[in-house]
Amino acid sequence: MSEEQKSVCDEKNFRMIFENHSKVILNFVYYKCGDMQQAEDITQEAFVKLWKNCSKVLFGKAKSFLMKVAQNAFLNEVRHQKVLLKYNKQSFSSIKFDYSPEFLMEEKEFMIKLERCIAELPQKQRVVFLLSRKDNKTYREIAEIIGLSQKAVERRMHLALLELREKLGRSI
Amino acid sequence: MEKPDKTNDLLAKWVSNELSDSELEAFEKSKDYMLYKTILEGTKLLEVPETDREKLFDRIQEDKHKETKVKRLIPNWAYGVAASVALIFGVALFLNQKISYESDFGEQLAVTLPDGSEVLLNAKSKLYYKEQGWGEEQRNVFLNGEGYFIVKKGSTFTVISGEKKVSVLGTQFNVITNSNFFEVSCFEGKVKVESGTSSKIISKGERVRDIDNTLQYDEIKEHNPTWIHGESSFSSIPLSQVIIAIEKQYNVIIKSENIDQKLYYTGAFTHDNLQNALHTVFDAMDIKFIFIDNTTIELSEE
Repeated sequence: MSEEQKSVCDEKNFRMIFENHSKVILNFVYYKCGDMQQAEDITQEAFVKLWKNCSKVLFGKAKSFLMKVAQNAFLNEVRHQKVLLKYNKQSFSSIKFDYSPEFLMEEKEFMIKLERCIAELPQKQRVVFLLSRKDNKTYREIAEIIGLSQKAVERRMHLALLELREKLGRSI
Repeated sequence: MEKPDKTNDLLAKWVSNELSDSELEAFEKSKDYMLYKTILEGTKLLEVPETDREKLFDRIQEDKHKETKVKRLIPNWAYGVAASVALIFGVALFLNQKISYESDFGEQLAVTLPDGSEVLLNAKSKLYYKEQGWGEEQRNVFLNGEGYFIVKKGSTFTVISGEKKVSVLGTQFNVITNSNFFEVSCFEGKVKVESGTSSKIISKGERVRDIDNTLQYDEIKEHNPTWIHGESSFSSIPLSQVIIAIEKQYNVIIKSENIDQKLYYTGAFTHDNLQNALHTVFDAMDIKFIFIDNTTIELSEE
């Protein structure tokens, strides 16, 4: 059976859609609003909506349907908080920080500042930056997720890096 | 700073390995190259909060076969009420004009609403309402942070935060809202509290907290929230909420990964001296705090 002919109403296919796409939807919403509880609520709502419309949505279009519902949630009321990614100390030593000798900041200090600078990025840039860096999405995939051209996504990525460099550079 | 190449978005291309050899070589020689590289390396170390997706799927399964239920509040009581309410609210996108007020770190802001009702906002809090139709059929306000409300009698006055609502007809109450935490304390009269699908009416001297989507009762002794008198006090509250309150009062970041997140705190901290505040809260809990820089504090177990 081709992808397009699979029915979303089939429990097995629905489960598969959940497996494949729930994580990126959760993270996408989290990067926008900074509230995982809310990201779960919105993701849940999107999947329930998908189920209710399962006869009308093609299997191959399920992802963009989910994304649209998640996006729409932001037209309504959404709580915003600081987007905080936790700094994982365990994996720290395995990464080489070779930003020296100009790099006078302690690594830990740098990480704390980086955390804060990412939280302070304009939302649109942050979403692109984190989908690219934390979810390993290509610019084309991100463009699809947020409904923009690939060009615009690259622009936001570029600006995000400039902004981070600007802020971190200043504090070094 | 060199002028960014607007047509090329060089940095984006660099991240995705799309630079040509000569572009890459030039970029690697630029003075900011190491910093950019460190930013990407550092980002790898940051963790996105994990979610239990299995549980989420179960919740979806439950909801799939249910009709969507929208619970609305239809209040049927009609007298002055005084309450203290704790909630967390968000900022909404509006189609019509909204009027908003925002207090900064460590600041309190008094707001008078069009109907003469008053709101005192605690530190780092935001309040807004939609101008259109306000005061006629509804008096809905949206709060992100904490506020003490003194409401004039009139149509239903509702403080909204996502699925959480507090409604009264005329009252005084205090609202705080934080992620995963919702608390309402009533100082006089009655208030109706709604959280998701559960709702409760509480009376003078009572408090409810939303714990895992159920509203739990408790009792209070105060006659109004202590924070309006320059001190924040708590009674068996998750320590994480006390930390958020300190952060907002003093504009600091408190890193608490190294301590037990399940601790509960009863006590108070002052608003005019950070050192004193930290000592009062954390000494009692046997938690050490160190300043990493002027605005960052890290906690650890003794």
